Amino acid sequence: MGIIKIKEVSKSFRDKSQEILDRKNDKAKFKFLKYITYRKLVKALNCVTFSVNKGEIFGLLGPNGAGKTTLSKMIVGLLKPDKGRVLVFDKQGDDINKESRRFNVVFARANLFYELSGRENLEFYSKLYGIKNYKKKIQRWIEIFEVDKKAESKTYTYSTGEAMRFKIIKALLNQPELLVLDEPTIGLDVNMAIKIRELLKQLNKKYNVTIFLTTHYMEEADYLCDRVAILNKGKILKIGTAKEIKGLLRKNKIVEVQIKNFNSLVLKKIKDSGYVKDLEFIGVEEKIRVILKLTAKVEDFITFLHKNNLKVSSINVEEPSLADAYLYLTGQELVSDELL
Amino acid sequence: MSFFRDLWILTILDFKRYYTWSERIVFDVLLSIIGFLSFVLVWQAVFKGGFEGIGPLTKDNFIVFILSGSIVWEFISVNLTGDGIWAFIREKYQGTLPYLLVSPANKLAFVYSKVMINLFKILINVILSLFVAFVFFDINFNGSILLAIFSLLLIFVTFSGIGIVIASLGAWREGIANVSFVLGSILYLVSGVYYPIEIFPETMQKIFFVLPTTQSINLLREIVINNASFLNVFPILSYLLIWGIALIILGLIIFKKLEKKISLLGI
Repeated sequence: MGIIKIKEVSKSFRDKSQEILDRKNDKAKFKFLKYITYRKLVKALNCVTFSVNKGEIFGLLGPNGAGKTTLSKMIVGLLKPDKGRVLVFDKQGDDINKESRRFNVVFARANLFYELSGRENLEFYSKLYGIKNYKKKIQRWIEIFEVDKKAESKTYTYSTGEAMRFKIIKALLNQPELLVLDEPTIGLDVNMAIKIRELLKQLNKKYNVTIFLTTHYMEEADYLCDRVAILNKGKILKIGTAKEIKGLLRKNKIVEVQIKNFNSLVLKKIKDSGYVKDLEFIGVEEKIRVILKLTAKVEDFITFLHKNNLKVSSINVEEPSLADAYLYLTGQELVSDELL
Repeated sequence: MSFFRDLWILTILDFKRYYTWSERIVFDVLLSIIGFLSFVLVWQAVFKGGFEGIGPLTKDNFIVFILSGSIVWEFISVNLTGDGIWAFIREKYQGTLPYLLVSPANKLAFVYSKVMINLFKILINVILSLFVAFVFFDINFNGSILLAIFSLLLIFVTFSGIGIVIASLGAWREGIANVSFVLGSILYLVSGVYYPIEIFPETMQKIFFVLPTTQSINLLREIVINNASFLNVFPILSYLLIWGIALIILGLIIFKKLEKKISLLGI
């Protein structure tokens, strides 16, 4: 049963930077009319269709500007689609807000009240959602998230990670059936990110909470999500389990190569070799991760490197990861998990 | 030299930020003209022998005249220039609006909550003003206290519609919220808060007289200075009620439109 049903949803926004460019270039007499005529629409979402089942953890992966937050806002009723339908608990449009006690949300770019302490913020939202015995519940969550020392401080003193933890507690207060998380682990240190992932998994298992999360982090999606959708430039490129998506590259070989005296000429030579489908840098510039074409053999690629006098320091042949699948599908990298 | 260069850059920046909404310039010009005109007319009246005999003002009732004007203005300005008009804008910039809009909170209650805190502040101000007036000056309030309180509440409700309009439009274009300050200042000068509007030329008086702000001030003055009964002030009460209903309906329509716009364009 689909708790979230997204049916052929499209959404466009006016690109203001484009307006300015057009106005500057505009030599017409009636600038005001030109201003309106030239306002360009940018498609944030383009005929997106998928559904999220009850009790599922569904991940939406995509780079900045892919349309992840737009979609999250639609699910919680903050935005309406231009075309198509967004159904949450079988409600759409303004009626989604009528179900607001059944879901909650965390936006990476939304804040708690900075004039209040974390605890005061949580108490405020508890009252707003009509939660009984909220003081005990708040205390329990504060302890679980290890923010007891910060609970009485004003939220403007919090680090990104501390603020995020309080935002997640806020989202858990009404024991939601559906949790919408827009990049919930962004800015958190590794330990806390792992802890939150673990907690979300437990919540999902124990209380059957449906989780819809958007993320940059492949590792997160791979670990947490039952299903993943890859979103790029407003379009869904692929939906499936992480295993299925990684399976897209099962026949492609992934080779990590470290080359001495690496430069742009070397890079061009490798790209034009005829063996390479995609490549990306890893950490230091000398190390690259190469996805070979289906027809290419690893031995042939190594021979090519030797023939071209490229001094290889190390070479590794690997199984494809979700990040490789993403690179394969979109042609671009996401934020590396190493930055977590 | 870097001081002058930075001064120039920062001034231009503030100029751009200040005049983001071109209509504000019109209101600013209007305010300078009316501001200057009202002060000239006030001093003209003073040099011609004072305010005695101009409108309802006399030497005996001038403190009650001023006090009633300022009390009514507090109840009007709380909606016109108070925190309510910034309800959406502040939350939008602090990034707190998404959580509030997603929550089950009634959105209109959210706007009114911003007004309520100011209402509490002005109630304290009014009590303190009355206390100072009674302690330091020998004043007498005539008329029904209950009718005066009822009138002030009606005035507050009447102008709350404007508050919703400005808050809603302000969320869409912040310049509108800025303009409300200038508009408030103009109304303050032309509604006879501290002097009778009779000091203005006759044609202007006719325009200023029909303003709900002027009528609100007249209403309280009729009650506390002329000891008017409910029936005496019924025409003014009805007039304000009609304004109130019209403004609240307009406010709710614009508020609904804003909600729709937010849901289409985002916060």
